Amino acid sequence: MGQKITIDPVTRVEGHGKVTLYVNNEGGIEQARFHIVEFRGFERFVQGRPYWEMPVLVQRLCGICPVSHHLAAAKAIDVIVGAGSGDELPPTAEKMRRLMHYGQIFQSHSLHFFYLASPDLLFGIDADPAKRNVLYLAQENRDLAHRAILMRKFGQEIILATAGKKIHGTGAIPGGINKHLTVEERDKFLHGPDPFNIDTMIQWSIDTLDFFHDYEKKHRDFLLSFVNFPSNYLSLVRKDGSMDLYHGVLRAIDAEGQKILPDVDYHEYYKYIEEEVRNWSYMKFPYLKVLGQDRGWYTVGPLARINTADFIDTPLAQKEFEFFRSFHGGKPCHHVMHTHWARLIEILHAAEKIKALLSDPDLLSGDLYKQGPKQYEGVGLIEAPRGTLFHHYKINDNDQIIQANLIVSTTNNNQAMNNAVLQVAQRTFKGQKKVTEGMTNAIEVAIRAYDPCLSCATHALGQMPLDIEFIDL
Amino acid sequence: MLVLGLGNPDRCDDGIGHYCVENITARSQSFKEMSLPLEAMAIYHLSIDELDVAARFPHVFIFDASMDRQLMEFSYRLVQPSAGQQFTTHLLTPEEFLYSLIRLFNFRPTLHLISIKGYCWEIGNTLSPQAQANANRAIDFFFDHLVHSLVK
Repeated sequence: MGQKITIDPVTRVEGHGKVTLYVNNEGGIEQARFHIVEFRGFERFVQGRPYWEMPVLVQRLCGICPVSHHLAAAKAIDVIVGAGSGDELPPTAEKMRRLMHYGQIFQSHSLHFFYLASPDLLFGIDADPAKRNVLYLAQENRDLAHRAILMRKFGQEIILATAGKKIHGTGAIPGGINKHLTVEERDKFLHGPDPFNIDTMIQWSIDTLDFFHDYEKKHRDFLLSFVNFPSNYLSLVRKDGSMDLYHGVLRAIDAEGQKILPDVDYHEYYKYIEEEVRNWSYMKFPYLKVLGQDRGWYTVGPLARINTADFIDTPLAQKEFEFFRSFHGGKPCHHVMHTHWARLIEILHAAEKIKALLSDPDLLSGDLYKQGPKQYEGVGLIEAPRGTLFHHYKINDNDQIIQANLIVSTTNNNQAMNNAVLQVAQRTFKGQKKVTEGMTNAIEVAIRAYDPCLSCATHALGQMPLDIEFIDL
Repeated sequence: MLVLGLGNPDRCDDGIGHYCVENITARSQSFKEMSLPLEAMAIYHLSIDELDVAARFPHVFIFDASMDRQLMEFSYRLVQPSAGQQFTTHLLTPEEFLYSLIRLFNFRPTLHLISIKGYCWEIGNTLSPQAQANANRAIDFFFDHLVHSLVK
């Protein structure tokens, strides 16, 4: 007789999700689903609020990646206030926002790799759960744990200096930014006492990549085979094809590397991307319209960005990028566990970008914002740590939001994560009588590679049953 | 000495920790002659991110609001390390914080916890008069007894 296995909750990810596996009579996996069980509803309840609140309000979507929402919303509102997009803003504003963003990338990726992912990689998928955490990591490799804490902290301090707060900051305003970097702040990051300075952070980023290269050599077969399936990939790239995590054009490629979206203007994303709702999850299923619902799903995030970019414009990360590409024969990489590798390349790239920006005098002085003729609609896209993030707002004559659409990074990866869960489940569950914790952790390892932010990702509306009970106290 | 004031200052008496940090910082000016360096930080809660700061100080004082209805005005105790069962390192108890310090930095400061009774937890950025009075008494205790004993 068939049975249902539930993994609830999925651990060492942000937010709440569960996995259900349907086992057939032969003990094989019939179906696997990754459910998001939170409902947030931001797209609905921001309606009626003044547009200028969005960069601050929507950050409450998440306490882990608020900067990404802050900046994506700010980019959308920039259009509404007539300031344009990207480098149309004053140089000081654009560069301060970039510094904020690279700080976010640096700290978020460090948190994920060291705190969430590395316990599985270092101690094994079947290790005692009590050991699969950063405190046990500290016991086994104190140096690595120290670096983990300080790398994350460095990124957070960059956010503090640019956004005003580490979490739910207020730095980005419609049309610009609300402060310059001070000389003291700049010097703290450029020349601070070891190890808390950017040169050490760059060196540690390189060391972490070297650590991964050693790991990869010893566990090559595992990394190549654990989760591996062809996918389309989507990300922003700069107009010249360089990786650009802050601003650019929208590119999608297929599993062979051929372009599906040939560097299109992201402000018209809705011409190319549709979202499907399914009745068993609060997370939507975006797809590329040109390929249809069944074939049009895609992956975003570090692996997608490394696959879609032509090059990286910082020298040390570029060297790693070239090695990554040559390792995969110049073709897109479909090994999901190599997302960790791609993530570490982005940590290094972010560190190099931070150093370049800290040395730029534009951050210390210059115009902070600009405005122009008001528009009634604005779209902002950014490459958040977890992938492409879409914010889209429409306003009325009273400057109130009348429509909001958010396609959050993790949402884009919904189908890909479901595919990963199914693949691992089919390989792991083969009629065993006993389901071990290691078996269920294997499913979680697959999900964890995508670094999902499940709180951010839940915004399905209208088609999910929702019971509301009013209790009169 | 490191003083950590915990809490959310936008939730009325949950801002007791921040209030204490402000007042202790102001009053600590008078301790300069005694060469007693004091650093104070107001944070929302203890997390793994504060460990490297705490690892530099032999004495760490935590000021935090308490919802304990049995508490009179404030209480004081030394904290003992404990591994705990927290599912996240974003939020640590004082016991777990000390345990993490020992595990990660091989360092054990004396960790002091001053819990101050609060009454109001709604949205607001001022302390209730009673909570403020309790906090002032706790700050007096800190300087008159705890700091004084260290300086001696």
